[in-house]
Amino acid sequence: MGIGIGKLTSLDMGIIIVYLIGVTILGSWIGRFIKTDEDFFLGGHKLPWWAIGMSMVVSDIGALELVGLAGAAYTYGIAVANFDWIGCIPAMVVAAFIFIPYYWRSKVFTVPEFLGRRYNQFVRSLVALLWGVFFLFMLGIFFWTAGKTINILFGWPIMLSVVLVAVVVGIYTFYGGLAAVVFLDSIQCVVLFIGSGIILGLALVFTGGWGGLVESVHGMGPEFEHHFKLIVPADSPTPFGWASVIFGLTLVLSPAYWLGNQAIVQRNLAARSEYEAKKSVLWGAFLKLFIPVILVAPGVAGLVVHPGLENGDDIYPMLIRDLLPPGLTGLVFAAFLAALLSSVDSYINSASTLWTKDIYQKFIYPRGTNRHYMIVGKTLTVVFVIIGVFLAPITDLFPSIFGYMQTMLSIFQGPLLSIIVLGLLWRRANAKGAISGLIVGVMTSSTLFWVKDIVFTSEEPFLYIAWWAFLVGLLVTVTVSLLTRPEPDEKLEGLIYRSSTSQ
Amino acid sequence: MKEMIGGALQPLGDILQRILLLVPLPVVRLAFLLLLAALAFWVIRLAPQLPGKEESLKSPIRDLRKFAVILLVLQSVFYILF
Repeated sequence: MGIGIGKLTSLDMGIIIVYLIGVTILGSWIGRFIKTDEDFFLGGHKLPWWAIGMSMVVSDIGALELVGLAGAAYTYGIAVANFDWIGCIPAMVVAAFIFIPYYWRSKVFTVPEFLGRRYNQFVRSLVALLWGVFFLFMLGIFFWTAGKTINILFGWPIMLSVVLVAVVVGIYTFYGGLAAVVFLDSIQCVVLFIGSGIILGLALVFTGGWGGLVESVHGMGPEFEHHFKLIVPADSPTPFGWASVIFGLTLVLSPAYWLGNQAIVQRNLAARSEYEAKKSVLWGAFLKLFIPVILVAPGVAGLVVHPGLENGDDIYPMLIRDLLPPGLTGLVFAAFLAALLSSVDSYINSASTLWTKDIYQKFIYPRGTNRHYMIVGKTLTVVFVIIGVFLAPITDLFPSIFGYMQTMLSIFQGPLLSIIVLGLLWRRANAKGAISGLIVGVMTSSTLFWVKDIVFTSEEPFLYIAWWAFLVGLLVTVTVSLLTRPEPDEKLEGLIYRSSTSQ
Repeated sequence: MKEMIGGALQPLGDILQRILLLVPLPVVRLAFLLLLAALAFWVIRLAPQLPGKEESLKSPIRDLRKFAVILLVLQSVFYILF
């Protein structure tokens, strides 16, 4: 069963039950305001910036990340914070001022829809299918990891936990659509910050403050020399070497995530105004600054509380078990549930949006009413929850499936970013160039993954691979675009970035 | 086939890694900070990022460029300290 946090008191259980019931009721209540597909998929363009920013941040932290961030910090030190700092902040600033305003102004529902307008419908369909299939598989993985994490931490049966998460998320996502997802995510963000902040505070009290922590860890030996350094040598066998961080993460995977991932961008499209859409991203970036403080620092502090763990991922549950008094355990458990729910709800809602708008409306039934597409979106929400629950145990039959999905993500994200960036910044990029760049880029990353053991010294070279795939995608798109006919000017109206008019 | 492709790419990988290892970590830190500074400079040079006329927003930071620069400065502090 792994490392459990021990028996929950009735106070803890009370907090958890109140939290779950409250989340479900509130989400369903929001459903009263959902009348059209625009309400369901984009909150009627009425969502406030603060809720969107909080939702963006908390959707990025799932069950695995919560335990994994602290675990990686325990094993490798604070360099893991690069994933939230240099790996997020610059990309979010660029997204806020360049990409999000164009997405918002074009009034699209999805990123593939934007690419369809910029290039052609083939590019839209290709990208929509890639994301659509990816989201479905990810749902199964999210459900299973949620069930497994709850099982490991609290001993509840895995399938019971999966069904519990599915029912709660399914109800509020079905009734409230994106609005429910965003508002509940913002509550979950507060719960996550409070719960994780408590762990951090108690861990630092145990270690005698930050100074005591640094002194104790450095006293453990020369192998902990880099534990408080953000920049580690390029030949580090971990994914945190500075070169992979700057090239693969900062320049490729992070921008691909913050400006190309439907599950993230969809929230910005739902903002009340272009100004609020930009502000939501910057607010999200501001909150991101604190994620390493509340999740990474406790992992490092865990070295002092429980030195010598074989598996660093055990540290967060152990800190909960050993440091928290009754009552607070319930609150931190609620924070765990918050992290689980916020990732699952985002992927369900975005999968439903992609399949409704880019596949169903485009290819199956283009003449429906707004209400018709809302009903289709709701139906698909239920269907995807059921598919996710059924896929969840299958995930366990293929232990490396999560690795494969992460691999798949980094295989197409680099080339996808190249066509998004060129599409918005370079007028001359055309559909033939984009299709060629996407295909050759994906072939490049697939080949590099195949030969990674021979070519790379890093054990997990996915950041380097994303960089090279992006670069090849960029070069091929530019070359083919220059060799073929440009898109007509009237088609590109309002779709190309002009710094002089960016307001 | 795998060995052939991998073998052809390996020398290139080795050369690049050797070049990257030549860069001292303090220079890398400076590069990280310069990246953030360049971004802040670009943000400052953008047109004012103010709310629309119909939006009445009482906020101490109405121009989003200031918000972004504060973010980037805070981010830089972490990279100076650690």
